[in-house]
Amino acid sequence: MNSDINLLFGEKIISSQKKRAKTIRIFAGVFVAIVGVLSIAIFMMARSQDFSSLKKEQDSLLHNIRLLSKKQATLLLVEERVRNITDILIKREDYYRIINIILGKVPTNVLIESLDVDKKEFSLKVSSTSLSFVDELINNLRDISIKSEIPITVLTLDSLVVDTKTGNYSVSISADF
Amino acid sequence: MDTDTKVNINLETLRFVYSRYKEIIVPVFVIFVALLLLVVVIKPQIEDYFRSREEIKLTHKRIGVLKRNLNQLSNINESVLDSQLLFVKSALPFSKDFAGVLNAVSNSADFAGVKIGDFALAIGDLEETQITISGVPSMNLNLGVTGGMRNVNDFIYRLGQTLPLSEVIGVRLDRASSTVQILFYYRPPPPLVSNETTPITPLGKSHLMVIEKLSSFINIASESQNLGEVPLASPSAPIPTFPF
Repeated sequence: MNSDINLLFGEKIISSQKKRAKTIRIFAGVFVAIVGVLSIAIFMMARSQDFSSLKKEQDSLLHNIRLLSKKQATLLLVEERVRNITDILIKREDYYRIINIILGKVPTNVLIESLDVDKKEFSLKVSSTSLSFVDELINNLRDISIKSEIPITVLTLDSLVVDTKTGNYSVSISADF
Repeated sequence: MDTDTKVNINLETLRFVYSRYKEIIVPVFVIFVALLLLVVVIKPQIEDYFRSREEIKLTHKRIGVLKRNLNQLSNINESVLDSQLLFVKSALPFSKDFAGVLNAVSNSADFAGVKIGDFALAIGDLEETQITISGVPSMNLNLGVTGGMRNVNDFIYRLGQTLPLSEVIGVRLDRASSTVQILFYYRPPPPLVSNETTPITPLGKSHLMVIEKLSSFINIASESQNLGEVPLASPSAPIPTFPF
């Protein structure tokens, strides 16, 4: 006879297996319930979203706006024109003002032969019977820069020629902006 | 001794295993199917729901913009807007305005008391025309002008106050005869890409100020077409009384 035989051992195993099975069945039930609840919740939430009426409203508004497309295009064109016009008005040089200032600096006893003006420089050719008038002219032109009437960066006396027969001085002055 | 264990898998074995473990197999299978449904079906549905919620939000926003745009457009006075377009077109024509250029030059010459001599007008393809300010195309005009230097300067001033818009880019004043180099601007209309959801705003104060400034310019085209004054109010304001 074997005293080690435990008649209750098999029952213990069976009992623990039954417990395990019960736990797994509970988990299975919980999972099924979760899936069920989530499905119903998603269904209800999806039903509450009424996208079709929004779409209709949007389409109706788009249709009405398209009826006014000519007005919209005209408005955009006017805005575009005004933008470019503003650009032109701001950036174009005021040659009238520049020439006025330069001509105003020439003393009355100095004769202007020519005046060339462009975006970057001007060049003045004058003649006079006296160097002192030429000197006055040069000082006046220097004043333009000092008083910031025109942003002159460089003022150059290019040439000074005297006609010994007539006693006339021909002067060429240039300035960079 | 043979240590390899041989297992004979057949229907009987499977039935035996099933009958022995069926209390566990079925619930595990159910858990597996439930997990599969969660991942493959329910998760994408949740994502779809949130996606469509976002779309609904965006649609509401878009509808708000569309309503405001419709309101703005409905309030804009079309005849005021049309006359403003005509006016800004005189200032910056859609195409090369030869008649406008010649009229402006002639009018300015009369004003300043100078004579216009020979001139060269560079007429070329759109691609070849000179582009100066901000990429606005222009026609290049070289004018010979006879008159006193101050008269020529007055001519330059008057031209700068006359439409279509021009810019003097070079002047040679001479006792005998002067030369003025001028650019007359034009700009073809750009392709207007209509985006219905971009907010529409009526002409702002700054735009109206520019139009007001231009109204002080000499507009020979409007005088000949008897267009009258340009309405300066925003197009959404009541129509002022002006002759057409």
